[in-house]
Amino acid sequence: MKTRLALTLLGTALLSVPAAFGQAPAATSGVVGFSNVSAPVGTSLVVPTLVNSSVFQGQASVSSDGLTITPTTAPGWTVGAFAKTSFANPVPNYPKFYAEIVSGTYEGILIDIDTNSTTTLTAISPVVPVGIRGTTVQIAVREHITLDKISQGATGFTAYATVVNTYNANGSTSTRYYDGAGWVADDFSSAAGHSVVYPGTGLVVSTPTSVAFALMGEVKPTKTVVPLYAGTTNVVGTLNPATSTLLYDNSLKASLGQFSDVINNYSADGSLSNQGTYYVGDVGSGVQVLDGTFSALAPSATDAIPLNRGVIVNVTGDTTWTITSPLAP
Amino acid sequence: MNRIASLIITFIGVSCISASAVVTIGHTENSATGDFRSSGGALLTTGGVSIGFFSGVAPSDAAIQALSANVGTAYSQLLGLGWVDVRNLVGTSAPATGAWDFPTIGGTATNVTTGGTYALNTQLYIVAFNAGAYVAGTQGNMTTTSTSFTGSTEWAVLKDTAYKNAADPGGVALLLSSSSGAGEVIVGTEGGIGDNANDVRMVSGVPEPSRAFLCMIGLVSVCIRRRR
Repeated sequence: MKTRLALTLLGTALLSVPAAFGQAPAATSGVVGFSNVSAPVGTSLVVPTLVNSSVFQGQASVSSDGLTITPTTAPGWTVGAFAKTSFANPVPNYPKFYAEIVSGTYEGILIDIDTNSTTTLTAISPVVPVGIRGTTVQIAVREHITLDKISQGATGFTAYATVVNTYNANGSTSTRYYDGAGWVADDFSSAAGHSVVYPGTGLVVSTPTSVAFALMGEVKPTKTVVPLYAGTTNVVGTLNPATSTLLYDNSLKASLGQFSDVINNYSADGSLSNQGTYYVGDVGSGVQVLDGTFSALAPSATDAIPLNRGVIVNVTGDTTWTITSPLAP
Repeated sequence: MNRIASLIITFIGVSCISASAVVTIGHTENSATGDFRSSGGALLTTGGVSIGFFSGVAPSDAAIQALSANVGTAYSQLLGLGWVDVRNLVGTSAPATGAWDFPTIGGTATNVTTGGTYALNTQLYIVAFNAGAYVAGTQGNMTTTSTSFTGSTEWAVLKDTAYKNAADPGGVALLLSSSSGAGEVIVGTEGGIGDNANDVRMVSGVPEPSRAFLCMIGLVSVCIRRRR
């Protein structure tokens, strides 16, 4: 793996964002930068570790049905500025923006936005957990990372041969092909560069020529709750653009089914060969991350989730994994 | 770009993805997940498990149960039914020697080759024997494993809806604790008195009537008839 982090820290400078969205309050940018990630010939995992800067932050009330989110201070948004895509069939549609709870009990919960008025966001589906409904929370609104965003500044794609797979909650796989100018769906013609890569998740890249990605964005300053779905391939990783993340005592141990759910670590050399299998379970010293022989990892174990690569997790029941920010104290 | 050429290249690209073979299959036994026990309820100190699938059409549960008539030949008869231990798949990195042998069971087969007869969602089985060990033989040739579990007199067979080949890349762990539904313990008994809830007891061979036994019955019948 050749991962060169060139995190151009602009410090904690709070930069005003875009007047394009017209909102008055609290749109800020934190630590931003870029990270180079290679996808060698063959197949490898890529998990972006940076997110788009927030375009709004503030207190907001969630309706009792969980479908609308209303900032306590009128934001003055442009109607539809955060609306999901609305392409005609067969082009797939995706949310473009998400609201995220950034403090409190539900920090890290992500809510896909259907559309917005000047004062209110409408969620695509009712907010869960239901405990959020009818409460006031601190939110941030960000644009989703997409294939197009990931591909900005990337080199080495081969038309119709560089392919990425993303795995959906229902067990299906979305295959996207680079057509020489952008990404198309598996009908080889429908635009699909707007396919979403959710925070903390990634994709499987298969390519006959080495690809160099230049991932850009902001270091996520708050927790991230990553859904892990049963019956599908969960490509997930931390949002730390600076270093790999140790598996010992990892928060995954609180998320996975004991002995039954599987974490697989793969090589980044294009062969996608297994570099380690892990479980969680209590083998006498409390619930710990276990190695492939079902023995608890020692505190000194260097086994880690690779930087910008992530791991693949298979779970027997839907669950979530809460990741802390690398900027957290 | 010429559309035919692009489609050919696309096919190559798709092949590149589907050619990966990086599934893992893990198995462990402990007081939480369940252990195999002898028919008498003792934890096992010899023997081990074979984890795999049937190439082609899987035999019926009744066909597998019928092999209990002679546990000593059950493994070789499984081979005749198309049994494939995942450790025998070409390219698979088997768990450490003995990892799936009693008394300590906990290990993972990695880079398990997929495709062909071992496709996504292929039903996996756990077969346990009370003697011998898995003989690795030559990968890709199950007949070279035919001397596995020699001397066994008891066995058990489990399958479960959770025992399915995971998507590639991915993994699955096979646990006795998940085989608690009807028809999932094909050979063996679950929930014996004094066992942990997820333990499964093996069954001993149930021999068919031998020729000598049949002759003896015949002679007795003749004698009874003559006395009349």
